[in-house]
Amino acid sequence: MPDHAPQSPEEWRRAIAETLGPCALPGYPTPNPLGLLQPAPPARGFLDLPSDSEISVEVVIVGGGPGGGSAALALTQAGVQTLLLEEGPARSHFRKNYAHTARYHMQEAGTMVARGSAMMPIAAGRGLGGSSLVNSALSFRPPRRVLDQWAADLDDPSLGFDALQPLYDEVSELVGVGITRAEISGENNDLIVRGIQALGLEGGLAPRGTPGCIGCGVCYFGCPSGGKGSTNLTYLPRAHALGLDIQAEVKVEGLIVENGVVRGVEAVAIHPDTGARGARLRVRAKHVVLSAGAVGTPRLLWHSGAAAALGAHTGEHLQVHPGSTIVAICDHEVEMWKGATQGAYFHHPDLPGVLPHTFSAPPEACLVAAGFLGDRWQEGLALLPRMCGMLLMVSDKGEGRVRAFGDGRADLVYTFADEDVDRIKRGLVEVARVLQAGGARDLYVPIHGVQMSQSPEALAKQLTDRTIKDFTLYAAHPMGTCRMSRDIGSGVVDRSGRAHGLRNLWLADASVFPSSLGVNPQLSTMVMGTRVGRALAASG
Amino acid sequence: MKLSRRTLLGIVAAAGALTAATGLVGAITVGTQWWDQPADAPFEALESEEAAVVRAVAAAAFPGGATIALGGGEAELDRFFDGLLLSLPEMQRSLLKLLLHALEHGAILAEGDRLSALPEVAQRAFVMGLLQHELAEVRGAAMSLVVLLGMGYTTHPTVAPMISAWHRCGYGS
Repeated sequence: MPDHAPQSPEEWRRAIAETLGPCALPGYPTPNPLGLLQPAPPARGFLDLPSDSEISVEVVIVGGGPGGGSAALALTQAGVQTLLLEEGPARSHFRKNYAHTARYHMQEAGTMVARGSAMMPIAAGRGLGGSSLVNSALSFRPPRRVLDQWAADLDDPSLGFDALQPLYDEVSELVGVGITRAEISGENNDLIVRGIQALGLEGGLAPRGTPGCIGCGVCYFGCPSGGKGSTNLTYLPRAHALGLDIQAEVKVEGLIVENGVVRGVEAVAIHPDTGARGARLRVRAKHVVLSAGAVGTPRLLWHSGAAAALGAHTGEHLQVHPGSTIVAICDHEVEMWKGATQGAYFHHPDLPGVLPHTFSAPPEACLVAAGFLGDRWQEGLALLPRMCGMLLMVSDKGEGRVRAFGDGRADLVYTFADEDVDRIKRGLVEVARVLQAGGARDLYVPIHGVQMSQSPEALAKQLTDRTIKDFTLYAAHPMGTCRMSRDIGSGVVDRSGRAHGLRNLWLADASVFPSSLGVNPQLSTMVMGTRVGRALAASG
Repeated sequence: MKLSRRTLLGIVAAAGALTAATGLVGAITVGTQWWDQPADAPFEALESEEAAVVRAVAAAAFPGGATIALGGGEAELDRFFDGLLLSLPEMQRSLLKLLLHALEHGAILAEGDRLSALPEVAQRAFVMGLLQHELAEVRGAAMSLVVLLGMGYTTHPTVAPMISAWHRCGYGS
């Protein structure tokens, strides 16, 4: 599969034919119509670091995801000499099985789990493109109440809803955000839209940053057609054209700190296939930008020993948008893998902060979620084409924290708030109504003690006495672990992303969000990265 | 065999991590075909008794039948799991092996014999019972193991093309 957006109509036709085969939907749009997507930039890898070395740059960025990529573009546009370091592979490569995706494009090979109220796997991407490689590119803007609260809490009007809209416009244009096209939505989304319309709810086809989407339905494996506006095809090639230097396959393990001033980072080359450690790289820089994500950034700060200087909030306030899922069986074929992976959503007036949207997953995950194991395994296999799904996430009141184990892995704890559990339950009932209004029949939820339901009311009754320990959980939106604040007494960085406690250290990823967003964080991470990059460039 | 709550939580943490991903399986699938080894080839991380437990759990969770004839017990998932263990840190490897022993001997209390020695129907009853267990930690450990083996099963070269008949984008390729 290509690691770049095809650049000619012939390349596109070939990519579509190779990618979709029998999944091709009629009338797919002309991909990449505006030339938004560009070939992934070249990057040095493990083999390009044959021996220990030391280099000096103006700015070094740690992490090549949406935060690091957008900061890199802002810096290079200002003429700042910038080096970007990335732990993941120098060339992304996608296959249609999750084992491969997790191995190469998930932090800690996808094995991060938060303990606390319940065991909850937490996913975060890696590679040049970070989580944008393996997400569905849902591109919602945060609601007014969230951003205006940020502005009030930080006494900074530039963080308010109205003030940030031009930056959201700019980012949206660059990654090609648009409403999912009806011709590539697929029945898994269309069924939800029918349900929304039947119930008169607000919602419909969702905004996504996928200007070249042809509806493969497997965004979570990595975009097989190169049609997603992921950071490797948008920000990084533009920054590279302006001079960005990229070294991948290196893991940053320490910060160079001298008398309260950050002077650079220490990294080691990691072989992308074997995980073997190679040469060490020492980068001295005037400024260091950490963009390793809301787990990776505080994990590094704790593992490197720098956290102590950054105050008591370093790694605290982890929020993740927890939620749950319904897999439903229909009388007709849905084929959830045809069309946009996650392309529909709705809001319910009684459930502010709850965002339900399309669910799609690999076959074994669908079958396990719906409980088709053992005697029902074969039945489940046969039902796969008639399965549809919807998940919901809540803007959480619960919180957790990130630390580092001795070997450098993330140590995660998360405590659920009762209010969140209640909203998840109520949200599931509304999701059930939408699915059935759209044409679904039998409802399955991955919650212990809850049997298949044939009506939302029956589901609601079964959910009443369930606790969070009964839920099979999953979260993919870590944020807020090094939050912005007025001072070090309440957070880690200031309004521009500069660390309170260490000079020359900046953070540009979802860790700086002052609170839970309530919407998928990719667009906001890019906004924040751009903002931080520009502030750093302007700081001289 | 009696496990302390602390040990059980450790097992769940190790196995639960794998629920999210099984990314480490990539280490196996790149360069080595776990499904294509001689039957008498030695395991590298598993003992033969542990391999039998893996086969029993796979057979219980993914029985062959009319839709896909190849059952989990015949899909060489012990080889898959052996490779997985090799790629894990020592602590996680030990905990997962401990989980296998707990399953093997826990079946004596529930079903009257070791898991690997039980008839298939009893194996399935035991494993499905764990997946519906009242203790979240027990459910979590069992579910983690099943999900992990499921990813191996659905990417087995005999199974993947059949899955692709439904999941038509070339799943498992």
